[in-house]
Amino acid sequence: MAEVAGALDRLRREEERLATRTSVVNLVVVSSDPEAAERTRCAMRRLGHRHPGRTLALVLQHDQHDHIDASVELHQVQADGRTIWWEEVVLSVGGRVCRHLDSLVSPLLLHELPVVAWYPSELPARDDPLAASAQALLVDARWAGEQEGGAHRAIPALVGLSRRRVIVDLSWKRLMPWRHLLAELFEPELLRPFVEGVRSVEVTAHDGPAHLLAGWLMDRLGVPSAAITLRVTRHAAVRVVAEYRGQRATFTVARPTDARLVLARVDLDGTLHTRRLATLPEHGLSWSLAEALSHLERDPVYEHALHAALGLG
Amino acid sequence: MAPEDLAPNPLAEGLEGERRSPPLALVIFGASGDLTSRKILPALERLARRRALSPNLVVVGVARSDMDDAQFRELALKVVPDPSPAWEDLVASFRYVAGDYTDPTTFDRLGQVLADLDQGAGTAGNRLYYLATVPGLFGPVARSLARAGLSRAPREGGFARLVIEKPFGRDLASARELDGELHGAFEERQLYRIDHYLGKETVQNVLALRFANTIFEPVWNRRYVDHVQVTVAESLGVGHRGGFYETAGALRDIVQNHVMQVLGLTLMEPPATVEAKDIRDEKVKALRSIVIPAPETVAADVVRAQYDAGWVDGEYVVGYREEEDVSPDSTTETFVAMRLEVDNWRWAGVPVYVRTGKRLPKRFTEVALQFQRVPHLSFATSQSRDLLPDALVVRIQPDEGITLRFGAKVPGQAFAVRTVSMDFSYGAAFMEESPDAYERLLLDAMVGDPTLFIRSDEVDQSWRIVEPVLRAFEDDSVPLARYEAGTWGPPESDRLLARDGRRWGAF
Repeated sequence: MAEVAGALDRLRREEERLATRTSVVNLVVVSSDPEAAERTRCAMRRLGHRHPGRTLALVLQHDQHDHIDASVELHQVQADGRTIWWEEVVLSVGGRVCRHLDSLVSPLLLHELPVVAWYPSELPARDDPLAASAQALLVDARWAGEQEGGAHRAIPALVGLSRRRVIVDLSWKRLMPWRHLLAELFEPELLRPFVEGVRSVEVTAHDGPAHLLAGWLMDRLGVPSAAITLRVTRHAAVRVVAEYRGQRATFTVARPTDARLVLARVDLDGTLHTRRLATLPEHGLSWSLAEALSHLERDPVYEHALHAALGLG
Repeated sequence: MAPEDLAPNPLAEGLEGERRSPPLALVIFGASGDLTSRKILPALERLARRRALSPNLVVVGVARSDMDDAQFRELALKVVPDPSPAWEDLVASFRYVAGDYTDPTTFDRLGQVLADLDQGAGTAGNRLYYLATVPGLFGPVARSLARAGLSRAPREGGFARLVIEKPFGRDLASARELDGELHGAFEERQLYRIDHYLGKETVQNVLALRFANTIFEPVWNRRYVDHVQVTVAESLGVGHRGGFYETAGALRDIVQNHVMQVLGLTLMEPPATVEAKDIRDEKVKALRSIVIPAPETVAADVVRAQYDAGWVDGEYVVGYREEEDVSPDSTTETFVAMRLEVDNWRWAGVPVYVRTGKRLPKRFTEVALQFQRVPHLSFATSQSRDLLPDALVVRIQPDEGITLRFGAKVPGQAFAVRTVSMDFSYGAAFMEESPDAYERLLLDAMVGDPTLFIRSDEVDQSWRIVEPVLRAFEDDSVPLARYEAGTWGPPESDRLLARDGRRWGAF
């Protein structure tokens, strides 16, 4: 690790504005899936200028052979006339060292800054020392839901993690436009009373995010699991049917096509009452990562949604 | 159903971190004017784009121009390049009321539109009036609103607020007269006076720097600070605003408002909380502590100047008197430098130097605290020849950040000490898209957060400080100096500090 730290110092020495550096975070990415690791690096490259600091990407190769290969890159981004630097260290590790990642990471951290550990594919074990040393863990219910056992395994694991650590779920961040729009639909005085008369909820999304959305609605609206229908599809959609004083309202928030638009509408007794549109940010992963890094704190609404999702069976 | 009888929206919990406007009717007077097109509508579009507006927000334009709803909507779409779908959605609900501001029927029709919107668009009886008109109309419009019964919310729990932009008067008397007119129609708590400078992130960052850290506040006083400098430099001339500038000058245009606000935040005591009242109380206390320049000292402590032709940014520029709509024998100042004193425990004996000017070499705004020299320098003079006093500079624009200047050893065998600067660039650490000042202030007014708006007594105190200087300019007791465009002002400005053994910081 001294060699890696030395390489970083040499790169820094060559940079133009040696005397000035602004860093805000250490981001440690842990993945044994090379594709997931590459996705995270791409996201970071788009994001580096927003959260400059040091990224340590640990690509785990579960073979018997003990080895560490390292590459170090210094990135420069011009933003608003400023030059911003951020560093990326990629460590490919195999063998026994995979069980002692904290010993690799500690010497390479910018010590005065917070450490965020990102598990883009598999979730960390309960006793993972690296996870224990981080101020916050970034996870992704969608990627976790794609692993063996799907959401039925991922949700209890996330609940377990959230009891001990600050976890920030990128899927939850990406669902924000849906949550905002649905909440907005219930804002008008005329429609607010329907929150107490929800009869059925249909949620479609990837395995994982669908459970988060459904759990959120179960928790917030007091809907029993029997009233929830879950379907797995590519784009997220929510449909809530509610009744109040003999009127029936259908609240829908959906991304109907691949276009980065989410459509929200309320139909009152079969007639269109309200319609809203929201634009989704480009580069969803980079955006959700930036949002996550900007709000590294417990989110009780998310934790309650996770707990409720356990009841989905 | 009254708003307070509504069940809470359980889905909104956890989303409050993102500030959002309540349902309301935003009424823009001067809806066909320049300020509306250049600032207000683009700021609204950005708010709509990031979904900070309630779906039950409706914009109502009021102006003399003969337009209907459709034409106003067309204008709103035209002034925003690349509008988002959310903007198109919002604009579809825009309403327009054409009429003269002095005609009571204009306000009757406006009242009818607002009542309809409360019924049909769920604006909940909330009104935010934005006066994007010439200042001369502030009083008459406020009066007409009150006369039409529109200065109060029509229902319990609602609100009616009035936003006005600087200038707030031309001097102390006219500012008080304006306040009298406004207070005849609205209560002070309903008034939101905008100085867009306060909407800048880095101006607010002065508060964070001082009161969220332990390392700065202990040295932020007369024991360690030698003097304070505030510079608001502009490289532009008056452009097409010559007519306006002739009636204003740098003292009214910049010092009375922007500079005084920045000074208030820099000199104030720690507020008990960051609530609007506490912050504004402390700012007023700080402004009250600034010694009013005595007529007999104004000539010595104030520099007044006007730019002549010169070179700025590699281009030849004409002198102020050759500018469009400027009198050839104008005595309007385009540069002011002042030496102020503060009479309180924290700052007694620490001079505050202020300068602002047009056609200076570059555009920047900063507050610099220069610290006292060490009581005894242990190093040989030859080893510390270029060592400058320590300084902390808060850069407000354009390269927002903080610079700390201090001495460090030069690497090598000898023990030489040299001045270095440590630079924190605000944008490099937080590449969040900072809201533009109008966006921030507009949303603050909607949610009812008056922290960054100027209270009546702040306006009063600011005028109190500059009033004797205004009078001295008017009776020519401060001679009008001249400076070449593209320089840092007249030699008199340098002499103002040189006589105290100081100089404007090359920070």
